[in-house]
Amino acid sequence: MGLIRDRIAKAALFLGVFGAIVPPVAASVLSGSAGRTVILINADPPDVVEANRALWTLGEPVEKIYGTPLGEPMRILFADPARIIVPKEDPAVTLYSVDKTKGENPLQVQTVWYAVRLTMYVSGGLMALAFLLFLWRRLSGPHGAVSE
Amino acid sequence: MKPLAILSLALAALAPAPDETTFHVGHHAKFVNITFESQADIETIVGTTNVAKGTIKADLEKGTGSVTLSVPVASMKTGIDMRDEHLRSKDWLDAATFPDLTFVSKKVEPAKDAKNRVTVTGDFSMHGVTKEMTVTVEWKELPAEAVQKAKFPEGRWLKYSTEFDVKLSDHGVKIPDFVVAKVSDAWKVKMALFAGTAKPEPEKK
Repeated sequence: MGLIRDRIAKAALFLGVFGAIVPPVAASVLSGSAGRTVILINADPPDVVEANRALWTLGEPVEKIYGTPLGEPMRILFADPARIIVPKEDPAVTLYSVDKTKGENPLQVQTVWYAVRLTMYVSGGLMALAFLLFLWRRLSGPHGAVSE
Repeated sequence: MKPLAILSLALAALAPAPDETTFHVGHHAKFVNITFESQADIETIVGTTNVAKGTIKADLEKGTGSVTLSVPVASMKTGIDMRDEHLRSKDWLDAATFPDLTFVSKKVEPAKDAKNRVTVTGDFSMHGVTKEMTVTVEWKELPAEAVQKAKFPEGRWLKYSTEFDVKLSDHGVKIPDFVVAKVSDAWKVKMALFAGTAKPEPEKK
């Protein structure tokens, strides 16, 4: 009984620590290396972009020229370079064209962090379990450890 | 005499006021660009539609007029077919019973701060529930040479832009508990519409 308990405690501690450290580090590295802050847009076809450009005046959001923005600027992972638009009117802005009718959903860093948060909760639970099992061993003394 | 008088009054009400010009919405999908967005804990859901039909009667000098607009629920896409099916289902927007989102203006007033901006108050209907809504709409007229260059159909063209929020709960849509972290009650809607004086071609059956 004590041996099984100790093995479960060690496994829970290992998985708990692993889950608490690796996913957030991986998410940070991914967000930094493969992430890009963009404004998603439902892009207009070229002739409408021409019309939009004729109506655009300096000081207005540049994304209005290229389509209608989908939400606020967001960080996405593994952006397809073919979909990136860097407007000549404001090269500091990066637009990312998505066609929802074709089922395009870029992976959001926000979603990855939500998954990380869930693994952190599970890791916390596992570490608490390990702590309780080690506490149990300590309280039951050498008898508990040799009861097998 | 009396029926005739009523008829002429009704016709007068339907016809645009002398200084109003009628602009049509829905010539082609490329002239309609509507996005909607829900920001929740897990994800930001964004969707689009390029389908809308309607009429805008506008006196551009006075900044007055009227608007009727409808958007089919079935045309709204979020990028995941299953999610779109849910959106159309009875638990959400119930597209079978209430196929369109509609807006009918009651009052259009010029904005005080800009000539090409108006405040539109009207009835917005979704999921069979109608609520009064006031939105600020900006319009710009496309110069004739730009109409030609962009190869738009002949006539005058205006671009209308607006942004507003819609609360699902205001329209009797309750978000199921198990998706509360994924779907927000408040949705941000952004619209950009080109409306032209040319009448849209009738739909081919």
